[in-house]
Amino acid sequence: MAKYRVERIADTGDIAFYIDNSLQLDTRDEFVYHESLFLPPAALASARNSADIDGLILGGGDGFGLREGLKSPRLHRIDLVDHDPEVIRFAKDGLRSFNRSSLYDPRACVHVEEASRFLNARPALYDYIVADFTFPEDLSGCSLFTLGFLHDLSRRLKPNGIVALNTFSPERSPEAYWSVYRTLTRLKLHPKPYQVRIPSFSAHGYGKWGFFLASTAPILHREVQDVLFPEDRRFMAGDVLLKAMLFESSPVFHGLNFSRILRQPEDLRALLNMSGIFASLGGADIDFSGDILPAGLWKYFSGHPEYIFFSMSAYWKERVFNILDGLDWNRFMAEAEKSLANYSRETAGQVRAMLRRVSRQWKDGDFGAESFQRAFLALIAVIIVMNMLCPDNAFAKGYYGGSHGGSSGGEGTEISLLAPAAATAFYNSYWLSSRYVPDMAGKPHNKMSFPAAASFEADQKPEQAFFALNDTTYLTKEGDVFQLIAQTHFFYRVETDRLVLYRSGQPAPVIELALDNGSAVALGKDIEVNRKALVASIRQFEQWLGWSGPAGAMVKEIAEEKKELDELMALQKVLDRLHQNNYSGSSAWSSDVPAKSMAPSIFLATDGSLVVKTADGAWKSYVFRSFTNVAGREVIPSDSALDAFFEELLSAGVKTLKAQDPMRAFIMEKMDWR
Amino acid sequence: MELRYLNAKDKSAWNSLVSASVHSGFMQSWEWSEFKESSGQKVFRLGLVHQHELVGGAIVYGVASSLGTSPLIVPQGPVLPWGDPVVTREALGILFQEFRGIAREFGFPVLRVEPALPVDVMRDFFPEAQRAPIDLVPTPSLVVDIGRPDQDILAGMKPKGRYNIRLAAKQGVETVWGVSPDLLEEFYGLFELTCIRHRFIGESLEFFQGLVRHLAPGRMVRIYLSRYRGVATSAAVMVFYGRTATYLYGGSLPFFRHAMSSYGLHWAAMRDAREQGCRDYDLYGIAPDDNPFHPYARFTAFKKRFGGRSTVSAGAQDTFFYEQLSDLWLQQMDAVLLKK
Repeated sequence: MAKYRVERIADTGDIAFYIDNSLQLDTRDEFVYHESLFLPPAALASARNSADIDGLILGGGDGFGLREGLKSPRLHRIDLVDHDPEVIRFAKDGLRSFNRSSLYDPRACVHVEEASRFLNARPALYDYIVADFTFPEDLSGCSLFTLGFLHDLSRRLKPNGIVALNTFSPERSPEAYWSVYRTLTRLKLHPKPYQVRIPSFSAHGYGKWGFFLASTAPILHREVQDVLFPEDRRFMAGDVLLKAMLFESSPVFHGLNFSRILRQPEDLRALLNMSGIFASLGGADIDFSGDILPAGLWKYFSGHPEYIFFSMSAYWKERVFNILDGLDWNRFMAEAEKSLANYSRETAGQVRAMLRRVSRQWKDGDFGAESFQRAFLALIAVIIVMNMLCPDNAFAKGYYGGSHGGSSGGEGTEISLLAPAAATAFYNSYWLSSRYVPDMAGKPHNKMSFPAAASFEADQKPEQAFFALNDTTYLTKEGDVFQLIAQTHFFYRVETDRLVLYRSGQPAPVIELALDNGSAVALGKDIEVNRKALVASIRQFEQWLGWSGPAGAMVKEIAEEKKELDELMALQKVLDRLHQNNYSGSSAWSSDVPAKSMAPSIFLATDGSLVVKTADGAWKSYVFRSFTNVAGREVIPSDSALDAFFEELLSAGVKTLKAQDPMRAFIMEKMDWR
Repeated sequence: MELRYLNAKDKSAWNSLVSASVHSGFMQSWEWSEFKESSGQKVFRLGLVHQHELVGGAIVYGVASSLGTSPLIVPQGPVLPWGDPVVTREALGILFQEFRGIAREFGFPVLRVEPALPVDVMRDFFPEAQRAPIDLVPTPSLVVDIGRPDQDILAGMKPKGRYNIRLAAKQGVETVWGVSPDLLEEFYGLFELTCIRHRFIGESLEFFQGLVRHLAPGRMVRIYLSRYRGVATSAAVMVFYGRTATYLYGGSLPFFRHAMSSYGLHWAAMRDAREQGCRDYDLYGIAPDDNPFHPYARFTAFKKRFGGRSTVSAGAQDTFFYEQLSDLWLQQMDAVLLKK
């Protein structure tokens, strides 16, 4: 039996509604969620039909989604199916002023029934269906996202009907989110992933919230662009939806292996929604069957040159170009010419014309011409996919790593196709660790001295880190967490909601910066993984000590081992305490500023300025040497310690960038380094 | 010289040929090919016969991806008498004819070979090939000569390596080995933890179970596990083939670092490998000297403490099959580029 809880928000009359302690809605911003989930399918379905439309809502017994559905001027009928009579009772009464009495509307028909039973028992077909289920916490909840259930759901769609799904956070649960994507493609539906930041969800640490639109007919860019939303709305609009369909990072960026996401060619379409990919081509990024870049190329790769050439990892960029340089183009063209006999006359003619142009452009070095780019991209797609989807390519022994580029066996190589955020030229865990973690002894470089938390203000007492949580993060006996910034004498003290920058040996903090959600969650996971391993080790150790028998205490050696056990227990206490911390990071995290990460919360913005995200959630510029405040952001006052930090960080950065990298030249110029 | 597809009856002759070659390794073994075949790869076992005697060949692997495109790979092969250029050239001519046939039949657009050869020899035999974007075997690597008495092996190590090995012994680190499911499970616990801590994506337990299932009957694999005070602190999977023992996978506990159990483990594995007739202990990949930011840099210091000689090979080489490459490209062009 689910537990319901309503929290009244003082002064405003608003409420927050929880089921089993999971936030369902906060009336202060529920419109963001409900408009995002309910308005697009209704509007798209209306646009696709000349007649009035029928809608179906599965779940959503609170009546809020129904309220949005009823806004459609061409709505004929809408069925709402929720298994929980208690929620519906509450919605009809306690939530009536919020859901605008939607459950009493004559166009609405409410069914208290299991969704799966309803789908199988009724023959009715709908122009759109919205599944508004709660976050699945058990098998029963998960069953609403299975192939079988979604198959039953899709059978209730009219031709070209639209499905909208409330799913999971692509930030927090990327595997789950993209598995829904795969499930939809298995059903021959064309999924459109989109995500929205809902303030109350973010405040609960849920991350950006993910949805899907899907249909048997592709949902085209122009459809979304032209769709008419009802006047009576506060959030959703065509441009808002288009923006929501742009993912600023791929699932790969969130720690998922490329190959684990991409099981079939169609899966690569998921990556097409990343921002910037098609910007210069008029934003065709969400149009899977569109007309600007080929669906076949999309099928294999998200192929905008900007994306390929600037976001691909340096490793792959170099190698792909080496391959292209080494190809025998004359033979390639000759073979293509031979194969053209198998194609239609029209196709062959077009290809020949393109080959002639490409050949000329290649000779002239005219890589910017559109036909050249297209031909070139198709070839790059083939080469990259061929390499990436061969699981034995990395050392032929097993599978290859994805996001962080590590093959296992303790010794990986960087073979990521896409550069993960944490492995940009600057902020790369490998070189981060390479200087200060010189061996496997698990201790940081002896140059680093960490202040104890209690002694920041008083006399500084350097504290030796005694446990490496991962390659860059260390714990002190006091339970402070420090993250090193390699090649510099600076480090972060990681607090539950912020990063405090220190200079080694200096007790005063330099600046307080935001802790992003992703890093915070990763830290929490690291603590948990190490804690579990420690508990198991202590158990084994105690068992071993038990075998030493009653005489054990008499023997000096055994006494030493008990001391060792005490140390493990001390570490366990620290890990237990850290485990209690809710490392949630900044709930106000935003990616408004396009930038390259140089270190956590420190960026080189694409406008050429140095930008940090401070602990209060603000983006601020730091004016230093020739780096100016291009975008007119708030400026951090000049500070000698920050000067030293940026000097070291940029100096370390240029050492890792290749000589021909434009970013390196840019930094050298700004710093007046020759 | 003629080419024929090898069958189970050729297993012994083939393995003898491969294990005798310093330019090849376990990935060309019959057992490894069966392991890979069991995981769904296409395997082509090509033998070259001269006067009824097997003189060379290649085990070729292809991954049937859903996209229909993957390189045709020959890790640690082909297996040929590289010291005899005349025979080798003739053999390569025959093999490449077959490679092309396989590529044509299954649509592979590129062949990736990686015999352990120096750059100049590789260039000589594969003039049209180019450096592959990913190697099949890590290079450079570090190989410890274990065909010597203990004191000589220890003398070849860095002082810190020797010290840590002795320290591990003094601390009471004990190393066991075998191929039992229990041992595999203990190894996997440490391996998984190491992957998470160092942000690697590791193979599944099923992968290791398959590896042991196929390699253990031929005594090609052993799992080593070190314990300190009863706690499993480090583990490794070693593959043995011919004269070489290869450190393929490893993992360790982040606690009890002072016990230096990883040093104890490798020392035990080296001695055991020698007992089994191996002469080389391949630590499987180090960072090149000129690249301090190489992903291997972190582990290289550890490995170098065991001494050994650095081995550098030319790396994997790609030969494109232009017919298949252009076909794939045209499919792409036709599928979309031309349909506006």
